Amino acid sequence: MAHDDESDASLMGRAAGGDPAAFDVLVRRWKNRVFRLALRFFRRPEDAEDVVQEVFLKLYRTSATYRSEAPFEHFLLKIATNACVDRLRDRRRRREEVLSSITSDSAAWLDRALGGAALQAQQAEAARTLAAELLATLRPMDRTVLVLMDLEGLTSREAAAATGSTRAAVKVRAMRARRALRRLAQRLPQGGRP
Amino acid sequence: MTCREFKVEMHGSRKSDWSLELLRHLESCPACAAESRAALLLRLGSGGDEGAVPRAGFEERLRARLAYGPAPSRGHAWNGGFELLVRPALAVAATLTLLCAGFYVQTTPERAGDLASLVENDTVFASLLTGDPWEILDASQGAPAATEEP
Repeated sequence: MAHDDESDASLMGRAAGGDPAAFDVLVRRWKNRVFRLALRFFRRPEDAEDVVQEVFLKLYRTSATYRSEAPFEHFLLKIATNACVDRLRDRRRRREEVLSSITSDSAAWLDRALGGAALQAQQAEAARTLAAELLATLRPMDRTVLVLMDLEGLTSREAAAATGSTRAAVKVRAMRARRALRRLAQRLPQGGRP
Repeated sequence: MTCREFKVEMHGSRKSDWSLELLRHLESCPACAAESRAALLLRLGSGGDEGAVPRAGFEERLRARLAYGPAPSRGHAWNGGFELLVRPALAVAATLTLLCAGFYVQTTPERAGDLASLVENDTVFASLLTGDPWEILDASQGAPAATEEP
């Protein structure tokens, strides 16, 4: 019988042995965390949920490879970031294509949003959509690292563990992504086409 | 306020919560203004609904997919196997090699390991050291000298 206060490592061990109740507890415990991470990359909740399902399917199938000395959250985050990066690769957009499709209205709204101005709901939604499209032009792994570090609050060591990379590589990716973002924000037309 | 202090405070709070000092620095520093716009762009385009949860029935849908999929695999033979079997085996092999090498050095007569005696007894080694390759042929096959006519 699985208990809600049982450790993740113990539950994983029992899930690997074919105990579905243990896996259910893990899903209940972590599904929201993974869902919110997926929402950082995919605005439609259906897409984010798809990713979460994939993550837990992968977690179940690879549960036997989990070693309890490693933090479970790192193991799960690694599967989740891999799933997000794979999907982001499929959806990556070319920068020129996005910049050329920006309408003057949405650019102006996004510009105002970035300046901290309050917007009406519809304008705010258009600004968010445009911001997401601009983020879709970043390299998927760079974007993932930046989200993990700047929005999820992970340290470079944790982000490295989550992405299966080194600390140095993670820092370079974050720096490159921030520079790309600065350029995108600067190239944004001030109420007109770029 | 320095640019470093600005960055630390900016990443830790929303713009609506920024202090007057932070806003003043933002107006006076173009580099930090660009940094701030980039950070807001990331925040704006990355959702971040703290209360978001998957739709109802998520676990049932997942359970249905799990039921039709393969059971947890023991993983590839190398996963974990390296730690459990290969690494100790390599350590044992390395130790045995060192022991054998030590035993060989201890038991081999000094003459064999002596460079001088090696040069005296081994024609190949001696020819290499003396720089006369024909000595090898002379010694082993009695081959004709290079200057000899056919």
